[in-house]
Amino acid sequence: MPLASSPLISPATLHSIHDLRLIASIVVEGFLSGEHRDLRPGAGVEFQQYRSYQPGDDPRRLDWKLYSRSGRYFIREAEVERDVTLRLVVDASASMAYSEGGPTKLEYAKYLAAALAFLADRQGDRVALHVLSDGGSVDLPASLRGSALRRVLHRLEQAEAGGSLPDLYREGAACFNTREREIVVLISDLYEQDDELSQSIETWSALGHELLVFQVMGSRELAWDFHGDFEFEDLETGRRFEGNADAAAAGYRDRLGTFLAGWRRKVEELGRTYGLFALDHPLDDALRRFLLRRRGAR
Amino acid sequence: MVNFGSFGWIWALGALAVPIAIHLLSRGNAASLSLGTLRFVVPAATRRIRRLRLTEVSLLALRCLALSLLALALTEPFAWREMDSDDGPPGVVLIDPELASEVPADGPLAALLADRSQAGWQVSVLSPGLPAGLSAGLSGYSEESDAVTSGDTWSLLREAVWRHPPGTSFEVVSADRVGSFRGLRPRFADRVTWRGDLVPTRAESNTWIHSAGVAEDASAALAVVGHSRSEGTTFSRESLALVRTGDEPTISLELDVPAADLVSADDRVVLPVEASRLSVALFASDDRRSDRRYLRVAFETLAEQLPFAISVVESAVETAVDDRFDLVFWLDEKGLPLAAELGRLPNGAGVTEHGTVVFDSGDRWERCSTTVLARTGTFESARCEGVKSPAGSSEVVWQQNDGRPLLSVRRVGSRRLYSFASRFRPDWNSLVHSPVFLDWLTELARESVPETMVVSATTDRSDRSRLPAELAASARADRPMPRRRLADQRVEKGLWIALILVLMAERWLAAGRIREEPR
Repeated sequence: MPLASSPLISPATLHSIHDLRLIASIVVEGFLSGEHRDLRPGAGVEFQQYRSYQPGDDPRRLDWKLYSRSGRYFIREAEVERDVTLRLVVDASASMAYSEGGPTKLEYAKYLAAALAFLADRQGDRVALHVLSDGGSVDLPASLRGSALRRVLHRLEQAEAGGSLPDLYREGAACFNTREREIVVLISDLYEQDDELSQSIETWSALGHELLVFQVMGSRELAWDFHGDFEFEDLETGRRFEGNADAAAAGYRDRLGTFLAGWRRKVEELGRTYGLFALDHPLDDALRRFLLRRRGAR
Repeated sequence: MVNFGSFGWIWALGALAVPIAIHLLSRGNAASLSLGTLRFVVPAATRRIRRLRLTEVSLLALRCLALSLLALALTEPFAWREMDSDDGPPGVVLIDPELASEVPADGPLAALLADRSQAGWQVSVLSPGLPAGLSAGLSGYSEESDAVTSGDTWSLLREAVWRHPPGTSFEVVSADRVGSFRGLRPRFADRVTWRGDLVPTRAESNTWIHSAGVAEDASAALAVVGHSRSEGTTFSRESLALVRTGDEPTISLELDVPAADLVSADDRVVLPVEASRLSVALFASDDRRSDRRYLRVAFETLAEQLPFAISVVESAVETAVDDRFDLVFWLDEKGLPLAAELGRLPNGAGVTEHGTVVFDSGDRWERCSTTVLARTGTFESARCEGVKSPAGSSEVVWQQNDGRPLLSVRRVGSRRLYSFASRFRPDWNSLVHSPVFLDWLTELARESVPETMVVSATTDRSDRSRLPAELAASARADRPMPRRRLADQRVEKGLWIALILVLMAERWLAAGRIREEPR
C-alpha cells in the first residue's frame, strides 16, 4: 500500500501525537517500509573493492561468501561515503501559526524537520538546525554526537511561531559559515518581507549546497476555500479589516498563483528542488525528495 | 382622503418589529480569519462588504414594505375626496314616499317636477339608501352623519344633503303633516326649501290629542287637546269621562269636534312659518349634575311652547365640546373663567356673540332661612351661606329679603353674564318648582335666540319648533358641515398587486447576485 494513503502518517494523525521523536520515527519507518528500496540508505550499497581484513574493521562488513570460497577474511568496501550535513532551516515567524483545524504550519514544519533529522541520523549524517523567529535565529551546529538528534528534536519542540524573519544574509548568519557541501532544507511558507529568504536561497546556492525548499501552505489557503464575511487578520503584521471572502476569491487566486509560481521558478532556476506541501498532505514526498538529493550529494 | 373598512387590522403593522429585530440581532461581528498574510486579500474585499451591507438594508426595507402593504390591504382602505359643485346636479327634488305613488299627471307638483327636470335637477324619493344614480356609487358613511332611521325625514334629508356637493339646492315635497318631520330640525348650510304648498291641505284645522292621563286615585281623567290651524296651535284641557267596565276603568273622550277634524298627533297640519333654533349648553361638574337635570327638564318643557327649536347639549365641564352656544349654563363652584367673558369656555366650547351665560358665582349664603323676593315672583331658599356683593356693573335680578343679591347680570359687549349665588336644586331653594323658573328660562331663551327668528307676538304655544320652512344658508353656520364624499374607491386591489411585486423583488435580492469586482 502506498505510503501516501497510509493513515498512520497523515498529518492529522501526527497532530494527535505529542512526542516529536515518536512522530519522526513513525514517519521515517513508515516511509522506509514502503516501496522505496532504491532510496533506502545503508553501508556498502554500491560495491567498490575487496581488501584484507584488518583488526578493527567492522566484522559486519566481512564478505562470507568470499570466505567460504577462499578461506580468508576480506572486507568488502563500498563507495566511499562522505559525511553529509543536513542543515534544517525552519521558519518560525508569525505567519507559521496559521492553521486550518489541524496542525499549524510550524507544527507541520516540525514534523517534516524531525522526520528528516531522524532519517539523516540513521544514515550517520550530521544535523544542524536553525529556527528563525522574532527577528533572530536559534542555531544548533551540526554534530555527530549521539545526543545530537535528541537536541535537535528538543529544540524543534520548543519552537513557537512569532515575530518576523531575520535577515540572515545581512546578519552573517551561522548557517552560511561552512565550506562543506551540505543539504540545506528550508521549510517555510516563504512569506518574506524584504527578500530575507530570497537572498538566503541565492547564497546557499552560490555556496554550492544542495538546497530543498519546502513551502508549507494550508489547503484552504491554497484553494481560498472561504465564503462569507470575515474579519481578516494578518498574522505577521497584526493588521485587521473586514471583508467578504467570495468577493476576494478571484483576485486572491490570481495573486497567490503568481506568488507560488514565482518561488518555484526562482528555486528551479537555481537548479534546486522546490516542493509545495499542504497541511493535509503526507510527509513521504518530502522524504523522497530529500533522499534523492542526498544521493546526489554523496 | 382615505378611510378604512376594517381599521382593526392596522395593528398588523406591529409585525414590522419582527424583521427589524431579526436584522438587528443578526448583525454582529463577522467571523475572524487569521491568515499568514493579507497581501493577496486586500483589494476586492472591502468594496464587497459595503455592497453587501447595502443589500441587507435593502432587504430589510423590502420586507418592512411587504408587511406594511399586507397590513394596509387587510384594513380594506378606500379613497374618497370632497365633492365640488361640478360633481352633482344643480338641484335635487326629494319627494315624500307617501306622495310618490300618487303624483297627479297635472297639477302644481307635476309642473314642478317637469320644470326641475328640464333644468337638470334630479328627482328622487326621500327614503333611506338613495338610488345609485344619485349617490354615484357611494358606500359607507362619514363619522359625522347620523344613522338613518326609517320615516325620519330630518335624517333622510340630512343624508341627502350630505351626499351632494356644496351649493346643491334641495326641494322637499311632502304632505303637510307634522308626523313627517320627527325630531329636531337639523341645521343645513345648503338651501333647502320645503314645498308643502303643492299638496292640498286635508283640513283647515285639526284637533288632536296631545296627551291624556288618569289620576292616581282614578277619580278623574284629563286630556290635553291641541287645536291646529294655519295660524298656529292652541291647547286646552278637557275632562274625560271615566266609565268603569269590570275592574278596569276606561276613558271616553267626548269632544264637540267633527269626526273628520279629529286626527292623530302625527297627522295634524303643519304650519309653514319660519323657525329658528336656540342652542343651549348645560356644563356641570360632577357635583352639579342634579342641577343640570332640573335645567334639562325645564328646557324640554319649554321646547313645546317656544316658537323656535331648542337643542340642548349636556356635558361635564372637562369634556371637549367643540361648538358654539347661544345659552350656556356653567355650573362649577370655581366660577366662570375670564376667557368665557370673551366667548371661550375652558373645554373648548364657545359662546355666540349675543349669547347668555349663567354661571355659578361661587358665592355662598350664610346658612339661614329666608324668603327671596324675585322680580316677577317669589321663591324660598332653604340654605343660606355667605355672599359677596356683585361687581359694580352688575344689575341685581333677584335678591333676598335682606337685600343681598341672588341673581345678578352684567353685560360684556353684547353678551350677558348671569351670576347665580345658589343652586338649581330643591334642597337649596324652591326655584325649580316655582313658575318663576320657567318664566326666567323663557326670558333667557328669548334674549339669547338668534335674531333671525320671527315670532308671533301673541302666540307662543305653537308647533313652530317642528316646522320646516325655507332654510336659507345660515350666517351662523359655525358648526362644521359633514364631509361629502365622492367616488369611494377601494384601493386594496392595488395594494395586493404592489405586495406581490415587492415580494418578488425581495426574493430576487435575497437570492444574491455576486458579481466580479472590476479589476
